[in-house]
Amino acid sequence: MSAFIEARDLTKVYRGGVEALRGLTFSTDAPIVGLIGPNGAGKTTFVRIAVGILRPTKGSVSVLGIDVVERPREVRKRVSLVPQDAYPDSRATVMDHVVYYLVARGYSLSDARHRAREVLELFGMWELRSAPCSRLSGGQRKLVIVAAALAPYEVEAAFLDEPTTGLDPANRARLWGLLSAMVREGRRILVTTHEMGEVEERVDEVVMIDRGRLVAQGSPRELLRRLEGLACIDVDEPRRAVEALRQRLGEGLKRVIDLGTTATLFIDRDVRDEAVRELSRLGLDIRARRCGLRDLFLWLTAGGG
Amino acid sequence: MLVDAVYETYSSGSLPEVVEAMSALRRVLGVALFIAAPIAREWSSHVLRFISAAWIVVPFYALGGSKLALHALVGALVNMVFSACIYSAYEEALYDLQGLRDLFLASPLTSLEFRAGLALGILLTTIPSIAACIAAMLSLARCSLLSAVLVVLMIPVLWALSVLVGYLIPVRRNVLATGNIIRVLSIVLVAVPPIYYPLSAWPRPLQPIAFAVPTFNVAEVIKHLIGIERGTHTLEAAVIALIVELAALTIAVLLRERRG
Repeated sequence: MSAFIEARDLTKVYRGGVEALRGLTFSTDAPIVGLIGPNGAGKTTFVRIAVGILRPTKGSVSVLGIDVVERPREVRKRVSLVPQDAYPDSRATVMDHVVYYLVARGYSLSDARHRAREVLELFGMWELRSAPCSRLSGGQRKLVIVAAALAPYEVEAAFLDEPTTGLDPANRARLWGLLSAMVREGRRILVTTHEMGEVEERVDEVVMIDRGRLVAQGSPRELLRRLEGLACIDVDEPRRAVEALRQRLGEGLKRVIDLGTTATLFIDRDVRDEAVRELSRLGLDIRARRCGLRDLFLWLTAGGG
Repeated sequence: MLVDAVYETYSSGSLPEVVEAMSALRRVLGVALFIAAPIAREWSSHVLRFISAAWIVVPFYALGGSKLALHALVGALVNMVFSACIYSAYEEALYDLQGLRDLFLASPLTSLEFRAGLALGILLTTIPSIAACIAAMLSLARCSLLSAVLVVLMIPVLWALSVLVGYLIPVRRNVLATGNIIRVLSIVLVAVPPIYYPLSAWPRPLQPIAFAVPTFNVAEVIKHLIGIERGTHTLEAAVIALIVELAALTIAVLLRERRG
């Protein structure tokens, strides 16, 4: 069976010389893929190329075994996209968005209405069907776009570019529930997000990119193994903390990700308690914790975007 | 829906081209209805659209009587259809900005179908104004039923022409620039050429230049159909020029579509 996504030497240089992707190469067949990376890493560019609406400058990408560059139309028949920061037309109603999007994909009006009702009920938005989108909250507007994009029956792979931004916890849970249900039906999902908690909990495979290149790939558990033996401490006043710990711990302080007013310190787990005591003695505001995917993200992308 | 019925009829047969054409029509209609439905609900917009396009008839009538008023009505008609369709470039730029363009294009829909859908949608909302304009024009000109039918048939020609011109306007994430291009094109293609007034108002040496403007050629054909312009040579020139311009625009659009 073909891989969900296969990218080879994918490069995109925009007019003006901005290099969004620089030879991105990876392959994944996981049901739910989390594409993560700092702002400007090239996530949205990759997604737009993968769904066949943007041509790469160089390289190739196939989705569900179909070459996107050679046969973009074939790919577009099988995928749907929730664009980043998309918001609905304020003049149109909730129902307009789902129904006419489905008609634009080739559905008959009656089939589109039928499917729209099913989807809006799943999203808990049926009561709002006749409301103009100008009257909806920010989260509800986001859900309108997501509902429309996930409505087509024939979609085999959905690409969601930061779909949970602006959603409350209940709607996030509802959305992830729906995505899981889609996966059970055999569909594939790619999600870009900055919510590392969601990635750890919900995603089968993480593809981490930075400056247009792959920096890590694997299941959340596999990736977290890279930080085995380390503890993380968030600290204010980074300079004082780092100076003190360098003297006290020496090689025990593995790495510092300085984020300006705060920093994340990667400490050898054996000397964690000693580090906490030292920082407390200095009266610094600290938070010691288990290292997570967020920390690996900071480690590999040197502080994010 | 009529398209659904035709689609079902042909999709069971063995004519893949027809099935694809009907599918494309359905996709275009989906976009058209998406943009038309909310605007159509606002009835005041129809009245305002008609008034804003047709008010100019009044001063023309005062200046030159019913003949000049008819020229102005043709101008108002061309302006309504052309502006509505070319405005689709602005709508597309807005949809691009708010992410809806990507939502729609990550589907079997092509970018040309998307633009055609937007233009058709805006045209649908303009139909009451166009109908009122044609009715006023035909009753003032007292032309035959055949001429009336031919005038109505010129609307899709003008629509297609406007879609092709509009498709060549770049829209990527720059609503302001798109709006400026549309304003300039409206002046060059509708306000300046002899559409609201007779060709004879231009100095004779300059008159051939008018045939380089496709909207003028459509207006000229309509004026001949309702009998306010005479002389077969200008009709023939307008028809030939229009065919050449439509072919050139189609080639330009296909080339752009191929480049992606």
